[in-house]
Amino acid sequence: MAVDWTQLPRELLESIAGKLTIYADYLRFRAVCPSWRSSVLNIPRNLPPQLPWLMLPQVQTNPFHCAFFDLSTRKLHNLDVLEVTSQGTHCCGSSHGWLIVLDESPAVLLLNPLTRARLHLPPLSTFPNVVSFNYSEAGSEYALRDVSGEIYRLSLREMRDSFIKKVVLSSAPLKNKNFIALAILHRFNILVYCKSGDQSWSFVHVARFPWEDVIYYNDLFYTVDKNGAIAVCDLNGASPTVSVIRPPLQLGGGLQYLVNSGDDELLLVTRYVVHVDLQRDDTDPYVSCVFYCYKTVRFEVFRMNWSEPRWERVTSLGDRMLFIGENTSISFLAYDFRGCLGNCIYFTDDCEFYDGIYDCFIGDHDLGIFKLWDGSIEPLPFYQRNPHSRSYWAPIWVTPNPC
Amino acid sequence: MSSTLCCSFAKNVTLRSSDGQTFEVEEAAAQVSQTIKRMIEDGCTGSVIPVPNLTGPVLALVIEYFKKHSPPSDGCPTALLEMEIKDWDAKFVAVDNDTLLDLTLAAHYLEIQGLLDLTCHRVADILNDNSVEKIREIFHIKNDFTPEEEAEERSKIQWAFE
Repeated sequence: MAVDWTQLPRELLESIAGKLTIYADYLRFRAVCPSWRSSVLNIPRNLPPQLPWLMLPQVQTNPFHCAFFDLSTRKLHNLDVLEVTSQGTHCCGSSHGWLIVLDESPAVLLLNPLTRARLHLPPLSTFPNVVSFNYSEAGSEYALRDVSGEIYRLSLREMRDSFIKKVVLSSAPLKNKNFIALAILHRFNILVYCKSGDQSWSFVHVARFPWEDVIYYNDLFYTVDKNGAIAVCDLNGASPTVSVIRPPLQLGGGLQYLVNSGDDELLLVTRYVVHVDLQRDDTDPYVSCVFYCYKTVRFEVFRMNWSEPRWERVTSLGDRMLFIGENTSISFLAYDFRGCLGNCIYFTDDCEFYDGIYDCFIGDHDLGIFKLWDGSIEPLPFYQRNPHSRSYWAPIWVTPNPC
Repeated sequence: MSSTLCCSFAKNVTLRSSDGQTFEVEEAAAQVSQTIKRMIEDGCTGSVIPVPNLTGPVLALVIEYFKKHSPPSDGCPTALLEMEIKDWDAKFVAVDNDTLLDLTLAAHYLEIQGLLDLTCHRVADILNDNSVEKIREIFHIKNDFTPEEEAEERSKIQWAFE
């Protein structure tokens, strides 16, 4: 046949591109020749969720660049994301490939580091527990009301670092224009939400728990407290409806995370952290001047048995790997990605114990890979520790998402 | 056994390639191709069915595929059989790139969805993790982008080319 690869019918090129599962491969496909480029869309239509990259805080030679480590290809990608690299910003979440970025202003920025698309959620001054905001009150710009009705004040910087614990989105904001954002606030760990187009944030009223983590799962937000109780929040209607499920108590007192297993199972991941005295760690010459404050020692995983309801211990994740931390928790099959280990938890530091002292914290970040089969923890191989100064934010998992 | 026996009188059709080679194949097997199925239904079975877009060697390969993928006589493929077919498929498309191109076009022309998925997967597997330059080299593709176009395209998504 006198046809070469550039002359394949458009629908065949679409079929081939449709089999590519890694976004970088799709981009390279489009760059091969004009006929290949013109036959497929700029943004792939059915790309499966991508393996998260680890956004690294190390200072780059180019101050506009931020490095993202690709676990599968073991490559570092430099992206131009000034919004995150400039001093004085704090990411309080990463959801569907979008970072939630705060700085020393009331703005709540959503940023897609891959496409550089940006949009804003209603500002911090519109949170329902914020009574007033005034730039002229230097050092205590915000007045807030706590759950007992008492007024307390926070500075711009304190609001940036210790007001929001985590923000989770129902979907990528440009993919579904009716997306919802749910935030857990640090103090009292209460829930607030906003829908796209809202001018302000609103409370999700739940009999109070200190909420620890939240995910969006089957069109609903699920949030978990310290004891494994779950609040199921339906934010789709005009006003939120919430039902609370209280399985028998989980013992242990670890940090709780919720993960969708991908097989439509709800997993509870309990992270046990120990405090380490501020003392020299002389065991590792490279980090001899690093002080550890806390570190993760083990994890336990449970699956929800809805018929009881009860959390049941899971001793193996099979080929699954879970990614937890400041990001919206996510899970993948290791089989789908080269160079990845199944039955592991890839965890980053979400600074649970150190709210409010982000800037003065000394020590290394608490991250690594926990292996369920032997309970050991391996450091993330690509994360270079910086013994001389703790960066102002911890590495965070970000799923590259072109939309 | 009698029912098996009555089914064993399989009807054959003859397919003719662009270069005039003819191949006899069971009608049920040839109907793996939607294009041939329609031609049979339209009454072309009395004579030879022309397949003008395929040369003899390519048609011979496609007929091998037909035979492997013709519906089993008892109608229920076992898991073991499915595994065996999967292995066979993987070997079937482990061919040189010219043959892969021929098979892809043949699957498209003859509307053989299974073969199309298989060949497109194989091409995608070759593309995975390769640089643009390497892909051009593998598939003998001339770079028709102007240097300006190429530079502009890459500047926006430099990370994918590092």
